[in-house]
Amino acid sequence: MVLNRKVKRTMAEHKSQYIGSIVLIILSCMIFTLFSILSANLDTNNRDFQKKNVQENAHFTVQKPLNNLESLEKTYHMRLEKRLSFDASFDHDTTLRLFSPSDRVNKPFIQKGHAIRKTDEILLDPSFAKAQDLSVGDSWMIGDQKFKIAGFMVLPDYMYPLKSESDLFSDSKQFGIGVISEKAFRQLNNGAASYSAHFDHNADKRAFKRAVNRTNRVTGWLDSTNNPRILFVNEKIKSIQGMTGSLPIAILLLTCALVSIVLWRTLKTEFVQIGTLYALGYKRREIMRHYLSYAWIVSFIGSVLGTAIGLIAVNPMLQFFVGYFNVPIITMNWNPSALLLSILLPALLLVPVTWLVIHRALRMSPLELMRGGKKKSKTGFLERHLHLNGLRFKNKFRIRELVRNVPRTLLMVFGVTFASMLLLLGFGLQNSIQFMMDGNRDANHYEYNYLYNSIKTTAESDGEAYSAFSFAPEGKTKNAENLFSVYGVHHPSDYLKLPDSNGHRLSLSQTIITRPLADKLAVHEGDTIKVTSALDNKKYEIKIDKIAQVYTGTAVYMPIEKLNALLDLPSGSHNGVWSDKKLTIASDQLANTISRKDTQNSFKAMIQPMQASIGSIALIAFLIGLVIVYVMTSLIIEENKETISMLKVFGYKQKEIYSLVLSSNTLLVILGYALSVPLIILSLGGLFRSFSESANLSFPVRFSVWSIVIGFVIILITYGISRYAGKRKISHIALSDILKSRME
Amino acid sequence: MFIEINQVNKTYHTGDVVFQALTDVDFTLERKEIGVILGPSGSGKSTLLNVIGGVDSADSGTVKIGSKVITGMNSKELTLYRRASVGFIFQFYNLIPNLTVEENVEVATNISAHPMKVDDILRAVGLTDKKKRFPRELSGGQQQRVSIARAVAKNPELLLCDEPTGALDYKTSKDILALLEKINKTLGTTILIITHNNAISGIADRVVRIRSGEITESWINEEKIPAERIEW
Ligand SMILES: Nc1ncnc2c1ncn2[C@@H]1O[C@H](COP(=O)(O)OP(=O)(O)O)[C@@H](O)[C@H]1O
Ligand SMILES: [Mg+2]
Repeated sequence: MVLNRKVKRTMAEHKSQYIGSIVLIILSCMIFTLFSILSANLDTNNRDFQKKNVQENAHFTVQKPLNNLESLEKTYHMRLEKRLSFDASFDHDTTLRLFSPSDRVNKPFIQKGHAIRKTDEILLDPSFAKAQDLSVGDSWMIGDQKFKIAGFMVLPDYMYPLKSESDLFSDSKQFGIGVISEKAFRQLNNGAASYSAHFDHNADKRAFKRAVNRTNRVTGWLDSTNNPRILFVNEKIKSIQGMTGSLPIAILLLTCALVSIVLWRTLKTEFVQIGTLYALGYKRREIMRHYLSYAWIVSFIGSVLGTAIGLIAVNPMLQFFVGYFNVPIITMNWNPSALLLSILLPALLLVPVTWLVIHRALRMSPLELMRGGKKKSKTGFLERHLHLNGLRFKNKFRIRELVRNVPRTLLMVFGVTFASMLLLLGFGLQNSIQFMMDGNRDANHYEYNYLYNSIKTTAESDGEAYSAFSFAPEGKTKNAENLFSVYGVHHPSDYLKLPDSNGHRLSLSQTIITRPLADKLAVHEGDTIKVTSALDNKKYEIKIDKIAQVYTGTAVYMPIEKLNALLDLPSGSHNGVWSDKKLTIASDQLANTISRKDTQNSFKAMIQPMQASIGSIALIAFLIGLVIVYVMTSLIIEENKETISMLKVFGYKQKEIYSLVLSSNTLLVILGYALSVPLIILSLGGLFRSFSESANLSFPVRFSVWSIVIGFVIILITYGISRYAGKRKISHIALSDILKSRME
Repeated sequence: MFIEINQVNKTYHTGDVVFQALTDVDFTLERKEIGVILGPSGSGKSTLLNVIGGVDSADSGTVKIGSKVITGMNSKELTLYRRASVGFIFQFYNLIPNLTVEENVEVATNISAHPMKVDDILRAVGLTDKKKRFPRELSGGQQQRVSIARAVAKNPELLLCDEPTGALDYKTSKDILALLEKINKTLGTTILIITHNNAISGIADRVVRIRSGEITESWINEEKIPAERIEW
């Protein structure tokens, strides 16, 4: 149809709106595609891996070796495998835990390179290899034996490679895992044996345990539901999925909504043409088909390109992300339903909106349309009740312009608000994480934290003694995710400083709960919590006096004597020491040693996946924000084209015109930005809450004044540039053309 | 009679104000005739023309064009009527700004059952050399010619011209009138012209004068004069 020839020209004429809209859709479809595929892959591959490579349901140690594995497997509907391990030192403070090969339970997944074929070959955990700067083919000495890296692998029971089950965070700089051949193992060290068990659905775990105990003795048993090396991965994926799932779809939806409004307002300038075509005898259907093509074109060019770019970017992004999540990518999941959604969603919103605009236009008569559409016959309520008598003409004019076109005014404000929120997303993330790290440093002031493996009653070394015991809320299983620590501490303490919500230091003579635990258990100051000891299953009641405003750690702190009395322990009992210098304590006395630096490094490692994923969304959101400001500004300027040119005809100077017509928009930009600050704080709060629920962190939203100022400057600059471009475009149109176009 | 208008009334409601734009209007025109409606600005000329063209509706009375009674048609039927029978020439041309001269004419040929050849019409209106231009690159007279070409291209039975020379100078106006006259002669198109310019009634077969929505005078013009010779 000949009309279609005008589509391209009209789009070129309103470049800023149409191209801008297409770019917006490209960017939002891109992040949507990218993160849908990313999170689908993390999730399905995690599950596939756990299933295909037979992740254990439990592992245990026994007093004497089991030698009837096959018959046990048959009797108890399970798979059972013995595995040897020992800790080799990689360099002075780095441990490499070596395992014998497994092929029934916890089978390693070879990510790169090949399985072990020779005695001098080793498989390494890829994040450890990365941290130590090792690649496949490299070799080095363990003891007096040389090993060559055959490949990288992930072990299903060490997905999150924690050195000790009581560790909170893994740090690849200090700990890693490797697999060497059985033969090499015997040559190096005999290692300690443990058994990995995978139970079928109909298996009776307790019967198996009883059977082993009958002839042997189980000395240690850990179910996978309590195994942090497995749990943490699932939790990390879950928490990130919440955010990467909701954020891109929210951005995509809001962008499409905004683009529909832009399209709607741009099409409104075509009312005279619609009326002419209608008067010439074009049928509604024909007119509708023509105008819908704008919506189809904008949405499909945008969504197809955006989805394609997203697809191209998936692989490099995935490579980048798997390192943070410790999930091997076995098979690529292209998430076709998300792809389809990404391609269709923009059209699904834009086409109906366009249909509605044109449908409503076509309900008017050709005459009304040719006159530029039904003008409101009544003056608006605001307009009528606005008394501007005392004001100068300039201000009267500005206020009239804003009030006459309330939808346009609102659109500008909300457009800028949305753009600013997208812009501030990254700043908020960065500020909040920074704040939390600072906050953590403020609470704990020890350099070293030693946890004994038994309870001491007399001070055996320097430093400040404390106790820490594990509890679960009454009625909850004692899974890792439910357990928290109750600390007994000296008051005042040199090493523990807990602030209240105003930042004042709380007296440690009270019982204090950390904010993350308080949120998790939904307790308030003055409440009493019922808990079960993980040690002896006894039930206790603890009355909470205060909540400490710290953002990491699920713990309760109370005076050490009070805790000893509660647990019926002799006075002076403690099982840990805090110190600001390294203490000499025999290693057979210790369950764990943590330095503050370790804690901080590990904390960073914990935050990284979130920082990386929201960070990259924030980066694209930032771009989207800039484009929105540009599109909005050019739309508003174009809508003011007539007023501007009429003022020009009257003899107003360029400067006077822009100060009359456009300066009120600057006010709207400021208003829009001001609105965005509380809104982004609220939305980030919601977003972070979904993260904290599974991560045992309470994530505070913090914005530094600087970020807010910088964000504002960026928005203003973008607005200024868009305004400048819009002005240039208008001043390039000859006056006579404008007079003609009024008649068209 | 080709056009038969009987006791047509039309009121406009603006807020609480009711305005009677046409009162008991009667009007007739034979096939292949040129009719002129004379009247000052605001007298209801455009309203009458729009009712005849099916872009506006009468409150009462009947409008019969050929064999069709268009009063009482719904908007779908009106569209088909306009599509098949009517060519519009608007005072402000109403061209599609993002289509070239040629394409603007094609907009009409596209929806017509028996269209004329675009090149032939452009030659007839003298715009062959401007066919790749956009409307904004043309003078007012040239734009009006495009608008005429577009109206005629469908080869309609009825050509409705709302002040076709209203925005044009003396010389250009006469050219446009001559062009309309030529169309009337060669194609046999019935033409209805509205104007506030008394002199233009010289080219008409029938003339009515309208004032405040009422027909005050109506006569048959016995001494038609060609457009080139009318003066004002
Ligand atoms: N849509 C409308 N709403 C209200 N009044 C109208 C409308 N269209 C025309 N009028 C009024 O009807 C009268 C006749 O208008 P019109 O037919 O356009 O006059 P003419 O074409 O003779 O100048 C005018 O006074 C005008 O103000
Ligand atoms: Mg008129």
